[in-house]
Amino acid sequence: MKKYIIIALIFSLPMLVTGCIDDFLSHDPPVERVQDNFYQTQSDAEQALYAIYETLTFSHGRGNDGFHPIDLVSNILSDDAYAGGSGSGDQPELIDFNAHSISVTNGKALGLWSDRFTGIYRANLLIENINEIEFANQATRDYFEGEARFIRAYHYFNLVRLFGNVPLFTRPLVATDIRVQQADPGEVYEFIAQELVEIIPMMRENIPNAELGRASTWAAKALLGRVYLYHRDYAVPVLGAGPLPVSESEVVGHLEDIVNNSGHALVSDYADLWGTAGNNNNEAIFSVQHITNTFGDWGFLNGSIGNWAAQMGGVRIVGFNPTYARGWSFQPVTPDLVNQFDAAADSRYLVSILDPATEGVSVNAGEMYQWQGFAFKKFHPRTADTPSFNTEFNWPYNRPVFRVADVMLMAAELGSANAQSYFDQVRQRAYGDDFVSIPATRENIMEERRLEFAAEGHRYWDLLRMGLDTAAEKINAQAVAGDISINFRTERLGLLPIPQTEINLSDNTLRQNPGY
Amino acid sequence: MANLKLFTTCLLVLLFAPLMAHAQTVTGTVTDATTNEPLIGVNIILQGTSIGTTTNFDGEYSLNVSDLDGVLVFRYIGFVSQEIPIEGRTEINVQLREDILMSSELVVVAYGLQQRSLVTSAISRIESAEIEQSTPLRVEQALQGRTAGVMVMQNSGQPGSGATVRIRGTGTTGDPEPLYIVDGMPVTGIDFLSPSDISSIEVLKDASATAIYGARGANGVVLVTTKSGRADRTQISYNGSIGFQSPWRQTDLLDAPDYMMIMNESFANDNRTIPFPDIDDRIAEIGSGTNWQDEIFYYNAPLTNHSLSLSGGSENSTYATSMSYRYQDGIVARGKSNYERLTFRLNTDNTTGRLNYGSRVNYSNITSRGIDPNEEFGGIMARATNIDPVTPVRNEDGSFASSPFASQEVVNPVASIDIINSQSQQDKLVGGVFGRFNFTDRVSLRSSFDVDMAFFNNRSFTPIYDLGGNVSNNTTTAFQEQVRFITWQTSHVLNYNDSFGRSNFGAIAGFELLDRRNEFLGGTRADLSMPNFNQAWLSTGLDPDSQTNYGGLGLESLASFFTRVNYSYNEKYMFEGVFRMDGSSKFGPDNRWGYFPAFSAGWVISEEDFMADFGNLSILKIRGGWGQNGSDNIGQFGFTPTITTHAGYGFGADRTVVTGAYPGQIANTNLKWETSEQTSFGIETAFYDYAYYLNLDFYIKDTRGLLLSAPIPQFIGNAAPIVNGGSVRNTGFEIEAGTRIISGDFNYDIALTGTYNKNEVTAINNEEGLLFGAGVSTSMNNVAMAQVGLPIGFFWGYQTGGIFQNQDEINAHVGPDGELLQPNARPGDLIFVDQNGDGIINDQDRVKIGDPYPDFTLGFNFNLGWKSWDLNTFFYGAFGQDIYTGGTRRHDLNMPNWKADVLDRWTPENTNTNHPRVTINDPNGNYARPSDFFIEDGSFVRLRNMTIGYTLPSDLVNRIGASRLRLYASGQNLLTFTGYSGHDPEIGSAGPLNAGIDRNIYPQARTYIFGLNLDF
Repeated sequence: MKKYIIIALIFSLPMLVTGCIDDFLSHDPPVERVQDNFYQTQSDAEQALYAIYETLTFSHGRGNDGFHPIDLVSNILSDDAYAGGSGSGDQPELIDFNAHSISVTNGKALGLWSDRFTGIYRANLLIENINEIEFANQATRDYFEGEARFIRAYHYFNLVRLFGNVPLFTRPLVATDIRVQQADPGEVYEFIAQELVEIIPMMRENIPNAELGRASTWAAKALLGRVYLYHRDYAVPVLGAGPLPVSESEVVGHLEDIVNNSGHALVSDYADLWGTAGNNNNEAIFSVQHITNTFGDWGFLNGSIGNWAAQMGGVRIVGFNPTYARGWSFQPVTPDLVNQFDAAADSRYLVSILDPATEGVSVNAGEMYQWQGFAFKKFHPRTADTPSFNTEFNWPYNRPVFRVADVMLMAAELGSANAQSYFDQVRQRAYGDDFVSIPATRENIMEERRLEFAAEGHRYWDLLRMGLDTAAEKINAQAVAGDISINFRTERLGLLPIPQTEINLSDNTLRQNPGY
Repeated sequence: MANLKLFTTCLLVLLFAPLMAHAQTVTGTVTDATTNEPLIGVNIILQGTSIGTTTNFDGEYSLNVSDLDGVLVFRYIGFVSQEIPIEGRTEINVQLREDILMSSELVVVAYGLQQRSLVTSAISRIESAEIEQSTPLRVEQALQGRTAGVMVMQNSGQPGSGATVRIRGTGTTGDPEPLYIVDGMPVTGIDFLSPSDISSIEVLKDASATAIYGARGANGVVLVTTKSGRADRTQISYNGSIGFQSPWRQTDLLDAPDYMMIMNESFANDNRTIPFPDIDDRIAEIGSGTNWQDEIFYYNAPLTNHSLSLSGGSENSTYATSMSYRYQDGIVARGKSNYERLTFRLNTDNTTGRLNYGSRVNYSNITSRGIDPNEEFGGIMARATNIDPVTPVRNEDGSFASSPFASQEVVNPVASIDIINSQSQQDKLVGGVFGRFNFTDRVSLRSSFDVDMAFFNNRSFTPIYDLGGNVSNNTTTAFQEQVRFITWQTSHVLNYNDSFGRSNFGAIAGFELLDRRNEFLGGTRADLSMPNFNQAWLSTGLDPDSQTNYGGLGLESLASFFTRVNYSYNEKYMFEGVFRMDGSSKFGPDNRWGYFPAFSAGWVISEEDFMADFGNLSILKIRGGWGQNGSDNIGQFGFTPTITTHAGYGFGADRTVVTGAYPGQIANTNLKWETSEQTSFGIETAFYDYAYYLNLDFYIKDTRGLLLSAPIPQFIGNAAPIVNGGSVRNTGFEIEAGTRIISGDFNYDIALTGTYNKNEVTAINNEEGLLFGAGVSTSMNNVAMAQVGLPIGFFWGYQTGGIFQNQDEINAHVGPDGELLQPNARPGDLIFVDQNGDGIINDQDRVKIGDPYPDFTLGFNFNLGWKSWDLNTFFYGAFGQDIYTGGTRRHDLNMPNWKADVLDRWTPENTNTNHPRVTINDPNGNYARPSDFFIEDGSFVRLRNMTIGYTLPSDLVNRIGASRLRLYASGQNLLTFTGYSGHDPEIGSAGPLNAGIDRNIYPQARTYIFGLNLDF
């Protein structure tokens, strides 16, 4: 009998101890916070905002294909550069970008898409929760929200330029939100413009020194100018977009406001804009910060904060060179761009273009695919700046997104009263004593933009603003007999394809772009 | 009248006296053949009669027989019986040999022991004698080929390298390691255990055996029991050996003259300037160039092994204590690849009254240095395979030569070895105390408390160097890391045993708690004041801005309740039922408890009356079972939405880096374990007194709920949640057979194990129905894949259709609209098949081109004994697996070396070949695309071990006070038969979706060992 009691006791033990056991089995993650108790203090808001800024440096997407910084991709899509690399097997998807024969399964297109939506997600999270956070004062709350919305608008602008038809949403999506429809591109432009108009008064005019790199109200104004111009010259004629909630004169007013009141101005020597000494110079209204840091490795490429276009665009130096360091020889420059410079008179030539033969730099041309003899110099890795660890991940060269020169030329294109003066100022800085004034016609401004912004990733978008046929003509002319094939098709409207996997995963709610 | 009786009695006595007077006595001594110890209590019977006796404490016996014509039968539990004809002798001394095959009538099962004939599940057993034959470094090596159903592949030939162990197939895309239990304690790694301490290993293969381990049993369970003392004898044993290892072969690479010739042809094929216009002068100057494999291999790398054990005790108390030391150098990268282990163990068992109690304690210290054993970019083997043979190792001034053709990571491998400076140290303490209280004869309670503590100490030093290519570093760096794992477990099991009539009934009910935590801390600092390995500590770093540090904690807990019931009738019909519930901290509050039932039954047919005629049949048993168990390798906090923080951006003129925070992943609060369900059936037979045995097993194992990323589109902007969304099926067949023959001075035994396994993914619940696996080199993405209907980790690539012989063939290879499928191809390039006929060759044309898992594996063991000599040979083979070789040559660079098979490349003169033309630009992607050109058959058979031993005569040995001295010579991997042309066909895996890919693997060694066993 005793033994049956014992057995019964043993079997009822589970019920008796279940309560204690639940405690024994419940652990809170020791090293991480949980989403439910985040977004409460200003410090939380700061961390969330920094995570949004981080997405500006993303160049590698989420999955299987990396190495697609937006400026490098824009250069390769244009008539300024070829794809490059070490051979036809090195990043063939970049070669497809250059050839404009981009497949719907191109992993880098998916990466470009994914990186921007990650930024939008994080921004939506903060914006949704910002009312619960206690800020020091209303002004602080305003500019935090302004900066988050600025980056969201900037990501949406890049998305709509690259893909045309993208889904538009202002709340963070959850795992069940897969059937989201694409918005009409006009709607996206309207949204961006509206956002910028609203946040311009919320953002700061002066950024303290310790916070250089944060977006100011001037950055928002500059973005508004760029959006307006692109909308006018491309979205309206090519995509049939409707009007923006802001007039041309208002936009010109904003741009002139930057020139007159922001404190930013043209730097007198073009060479001073680049390299580590040029980081956050006075002409840069907003730059993506690239910094040497110890985070990030080959398993988590987006974890690094270095300038990947620099690593990818450097030439393959043989041996040791005191000035230039080794890179992977992507985005080799086209002779077409080189020939447009007046090498003798234009001080920008030597600053923008690296000609190893002339400068006595020994390179391994045999291992530089599509090499024509020229590389971009502005962001070229330099020996003196070599990071002490994880070299490839950490080149510390900021990428300027808006410069005063750009603001001036945009204002000129938009019919500012000071058009000629702005145009002259930019060219004067370039030519110095050899400066001769030419009329600020649209054609001349476009040519000037190409020379002024070489390597900065604006050319492709400027080409599309000149019209699809012009773009096709100029891009296709870069095909060198036999080896390099390029076929820009106007029916694709200059857009990338919507990644096929995204269409599939949206249960076919998303539609593919025309021509694909 | 009384006188008549007396007379008759005397007459009878006298008549029968001769018989009685002729009654003979046979005497002798019975001893153990291996140890020469007398055996006490051996049964000796005159065959066909009931006349018998037993041996006394000195092993002596005396038997009265009627005449000296009969046959004496000697029987002793655990030893092979012998039948010896008397043949007129009055003194017969017998040596009995330990029965390796059937020596245990008792088999270790979960939480107890069971009589082998009554076991209803699939359990395979390996004895210590088998383990000691091959002097393995790690326990997994001892498992290879000795049990059916267990596939073991070494991950590389580096000392201390682990092995990929799969019991009944790969059932998961996560971590498929089985659960290792040492003396009842689940351990976090098995390398601490010296195989010389092992008494037996039981591998639990089917669900009915492993279900009692619930949420951790899905990948099979390996039960290891360590040696305890024996009350009847004190034993001191010493085993020592030294060995020499060399690579079993060199891969055939080009030498300098052929290399230069091929390079010239490659560049010429692309209309580019040839790199060696002066090839003849060069050949005259450097001859055959540098053999880089010779330069990085360490020939005759030493290996030493010592173990000393003492055991003994009295009736109430026994102990076994041992120490072992092992040092092994690697055959690659001399000085930078080695392993050293010191272990100490103390096992005690005591009895007082109704209480049995004891302890098991093991301390191990392991120091090892290693190189990455399978890495295609910068691995030492990769560098040696790819660097040109033209460059010498050193320049004339003694410094390391830098190849002018070096590029990226392919630089001087000898110089590369020189800059490696890292070391791992591990101190491990595994042990526990246990007690068993017998309330009555039938009821007992066993409780135990065990601890597994591991302390890791890793550090490295990176010097300043510039080896060419992209291999350079301009500041000295020190790295230190410390990790501390502590697991404790307490287990309480109530046992009940009873028998009534012919029925035996047993039941257990138990309860366990387990808690595991690991703390880690690490950091780096640069610019060291004393730049060398011995003085590379963080405090010597002079650059404060370079410092990084990290640290954290991981936690998990497990609580379990389980019960098992056994019933057998007449030792003929058996039934067993098991039920376990596991609650884990990893499962999240929505799914806290998992429930795992199992049933099995068996029938010993040979015990039936109708089988009585089959006298030679020792046993015929059939058994079958079904059960469920789980795998809890799902991460510690997968169910909760955590915020990830890390440095992400920076601001300010002084570039201050700031930390950003964001939800790391969309959470899945429903996350739970992977469930494995297995049905198995087996037949066990043995004949002629267990002289021959044959066991067959058949199983179907379905695993559901495999973890994978949910299919969500990336525009959502956050990482997809992990969900339980896949399933895999493994079906297979196992055979274990063997025999043991004794004939005069000869005895031999043969054991054969064979396993056939078929693996097939049955569901993947994500959008594409695919799981993308590992890629290789710079352009071969997702070489390994998982897809419904195919094995996990199959190779996914293009199918080739031969070689284009001329331009017409290229022009004829068109799509449906007449467009050229391969416009960039030239004669001599590979033809790729357009599978879907859409006119483009792209990822949609990739198909299954190979399978990294063997179809079947075989182990063949042969022991032969003749007087004092013994010979053991053990072969192991794996068949049907493919190896993907696309990562062995750096096709993305211009001047890497080739394997010798390139000499058969396509040229206009040599058109009948499978090897495409050589080219640097490779516009057709012959060498950049993952295709079946890179698939080779990896089947192999290896003579894993061959040992010859000689036991010195006992009288000689007794003079020094010892009881046995055996000398032996042994060879490992003496022969390898394989068609594979790379470094080694045994590739192992870095995960189920990263298996069978040769990235220039560290090869296995051929080893010669000389040693001795000395017992006192």
